[in-house]
Amino acid sequence: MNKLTVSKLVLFTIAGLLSAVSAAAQTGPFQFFAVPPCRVVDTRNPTSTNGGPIMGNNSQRDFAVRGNCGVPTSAKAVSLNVTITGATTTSFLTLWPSGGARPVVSTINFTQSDPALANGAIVGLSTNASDLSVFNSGGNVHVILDVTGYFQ
Amino acid sequence: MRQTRAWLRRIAVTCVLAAAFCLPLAAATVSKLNDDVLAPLRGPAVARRILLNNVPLYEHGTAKIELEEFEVWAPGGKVIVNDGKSVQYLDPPPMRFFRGQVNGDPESFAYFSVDGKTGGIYGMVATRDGKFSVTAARRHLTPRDRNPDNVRGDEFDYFLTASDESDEMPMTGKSFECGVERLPALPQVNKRILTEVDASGHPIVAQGITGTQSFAMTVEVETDDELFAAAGNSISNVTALVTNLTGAVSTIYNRDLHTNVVQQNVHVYSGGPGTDPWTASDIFNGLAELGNNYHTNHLALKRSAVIMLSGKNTLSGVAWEGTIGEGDQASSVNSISTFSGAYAWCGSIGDLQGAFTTTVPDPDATTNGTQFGMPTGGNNYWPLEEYAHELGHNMAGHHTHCVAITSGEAAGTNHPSQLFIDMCHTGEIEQTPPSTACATGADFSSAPTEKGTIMSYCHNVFSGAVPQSRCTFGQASEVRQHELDDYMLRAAGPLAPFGGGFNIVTAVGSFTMSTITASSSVTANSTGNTASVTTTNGGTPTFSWTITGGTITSATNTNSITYTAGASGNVVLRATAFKNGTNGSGFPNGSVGITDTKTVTIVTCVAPGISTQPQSVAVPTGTGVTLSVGATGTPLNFQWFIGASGNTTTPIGGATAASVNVSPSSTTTYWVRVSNSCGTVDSAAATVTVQPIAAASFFLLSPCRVLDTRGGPPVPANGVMNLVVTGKCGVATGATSVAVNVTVVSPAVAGLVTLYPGPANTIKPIVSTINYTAGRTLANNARLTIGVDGSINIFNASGTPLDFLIDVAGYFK
Repeated sequence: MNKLTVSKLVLFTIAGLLSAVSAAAQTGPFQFFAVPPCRVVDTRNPTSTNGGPIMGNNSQRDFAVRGNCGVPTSAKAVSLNVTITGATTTSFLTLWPSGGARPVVSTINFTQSDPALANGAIVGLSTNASDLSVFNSGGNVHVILDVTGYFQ
Repeated sequence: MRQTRAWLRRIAVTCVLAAAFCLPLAAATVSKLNDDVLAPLRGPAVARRILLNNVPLYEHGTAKIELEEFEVWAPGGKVIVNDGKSVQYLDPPPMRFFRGQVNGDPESFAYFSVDGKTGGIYGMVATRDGKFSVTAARRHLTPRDRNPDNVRGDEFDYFLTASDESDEMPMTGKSFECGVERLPALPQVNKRILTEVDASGHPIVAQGITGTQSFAMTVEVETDDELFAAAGNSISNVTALVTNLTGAVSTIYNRDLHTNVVQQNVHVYSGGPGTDPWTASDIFNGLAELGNNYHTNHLALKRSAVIMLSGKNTLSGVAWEGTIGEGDQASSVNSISTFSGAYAWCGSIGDLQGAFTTTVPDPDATTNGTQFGMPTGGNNYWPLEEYAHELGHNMAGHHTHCVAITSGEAAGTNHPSQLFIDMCHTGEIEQTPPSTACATGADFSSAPTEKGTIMSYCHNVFSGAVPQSRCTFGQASEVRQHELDDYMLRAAGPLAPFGGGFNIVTAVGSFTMSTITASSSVTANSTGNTASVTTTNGGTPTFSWTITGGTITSATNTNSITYTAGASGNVVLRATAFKNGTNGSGFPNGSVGITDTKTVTIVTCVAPGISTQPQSVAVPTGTGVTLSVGATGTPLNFQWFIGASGNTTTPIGGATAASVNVSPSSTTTYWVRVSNSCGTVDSAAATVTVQPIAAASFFLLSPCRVLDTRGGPPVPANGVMNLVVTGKCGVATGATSVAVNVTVVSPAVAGLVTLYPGPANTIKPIVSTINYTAGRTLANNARLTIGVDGSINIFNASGTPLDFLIDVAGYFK
């Protein structure tokens, strides 16, 4: 039952990625590069590009993945684990390459009763300095992104 | 040159305490001592400190006297009795000795002794206002009491009798004999002394009189048959007299000079006239006879000084000055050929009026009864002052009144200073520039300006009935204290190491010892450890070693020893070096010792060995890894290095444990040196190979469960499980990542799991793969980076073991 649910989420996420980029010229195929697991974003840290503050209600943050955690600037997509904690209400996050319109997808859904919750994802990266956008639907929530590889 | 200077110092011979004649005994103030005083003195032997209340020192009141018990006899001291036919060695009489001060009077001293056999009490108390001695009168006399050796102390009443100080004789018409007091320039002498320091830079001689160090000197006490006769032909009487004098002298020396005076042997001649070897009839020949006798017969006898307490009616004494610690040597002064040294000759100890006028106590007396254990009567302080005075000369104290430094100064010119300690007559008043060398008899006609000290003649300056002397070398409160500091040599070192010698380093010049060298740490119980000590600056010292925490196995009397350490802890090595005086006579009193101590820490030590070599490992770029070594031995010290084994060029800072975390950016070789005081061993090198990140394609697999801990051990609480994934479920060897779904099964508590690449010793990164709450089975998908060895690590960050599933969907290669 659980496996089935997760599989759907994976498929849903990949579909979202494909949907987000479908408006642009499709690229690829890409090769995968595994990197040692590395925490690239943690909004519990002091305020910075990839740190705090906590994400607010109906808000968007743009993070810089390329150039960190061994992900080169030539990377086109990243394999990561999205973890939320400290949520104040039921909400969801959307991750997509920054600079484009926010796609109608969700990457992780959660409630305030979850102390912490994670989901794996593959998300495209734009060529902007801040290459990955995160949208929080409602309430406040901390976002943690751990990279395990990239595509290029 | 040296001989000449030494000879000059010995010119400082004469210090005649002239008591020209005796005055009739004046009426004395007498107070009976009650049990407030007697009972504490006779109290239990455990009372090392006692307080005497209600001591009747004053006409309209009493005083309190605080006393501490002390020793007057040196260990092993004897009463050596020669009756002309044989020599007996008697143990000292069982006496207890107390010294102290009158409360509120820093110039005072108080001395008491208690005869442990008879209960008899002796004592002397001097205050700023007067001097007192303990006298006794027997209540009832029986025939057996006619023998003075049968006295019982509790048959007596005891009185405190005030001295009228009639011993302070006039010197009208006499001079201070400046002409013969040609002394070396003592300020210069003392300056030389004061600048001598030990290896640590601390003065080793000439301590200030206000210093806290205390010293000890041992005196050999000689008497003659005249004194024996004056003491009622009683061995116990003369022994008690001499011992009490030494005790009172020691009390004063301790108070003023921080020096204890103890007597080694007391020589008594009991066979009547002619029993003793002392034939001289004047003070100079008496001193020469004493010096020659001891040089001939007792050169090896360890002592600081030899004091002759004579019963001959010379009314004066004489001593060599500044000779304690120098040993004796031939000299010729005033046409007397003799051996100078630490010799002092005190005459008239037993022949002054009032001291021994009665050989048997008067049964009817209620006051002024004679007690043979202490000089009594009006002159009772004369023997004490004479003893203290002449011994003070041995200690290099010279007269504190007018003193000529050189013959030219004696002629009245070129005094370096006229800041005399004493100002008991007008001739001593400071004059700037100096113009008067010495007082003459004419100066004594006027009233003195102040009392003199023990080292002065001021007590001989008579002016009416005014007391003229004090039993003091000077008090710290006096303006001229610094001068007094310069006057009296200080003795360095305790008594014990020198067997009775008086350790004045000036006698042998500079003598320093370097620090003992020894192994800083040694193997417990091993033999062959060595320590050595070296001295510098001349002479051929002898050495003495002691060791605590180990055993000396050879060569204890040289400057180097071999020792075996104890099992653990510290070994304390103590070396004492002795060197004889510069005169080279081998006279023990001239020896000086310097002691140095070193503590060696004993380490229980087993040579190190390597049981497990650090292992080479390959890791992905950006991955830290822990290298470890297994080692045997005790104790173990580690130091990790970069490079080939044995190459110590590049140590890793702080890497001093059995394992080290490294995160090389490129392939690097490491090794570790394991060492302790017993040995050193180097590990083999271990290479951390850094694998570049390789491009990989995705290979799809049929879903496959590669881990299910429900059939085996769970992931341990707060622990790591290493899992090889390549070769399982179709994951190809060389895969760099695996696409998985991970599931936590009914976790007992909330927690998280971190999945990271192998090998097992890879340093865990601060990331998470799945977070979960208690009781909720939950899944997540992930791409797990695989270690170079094909494994992943599963870390369970929770306090309980965790059941965990990993399902593979594909891999990247």
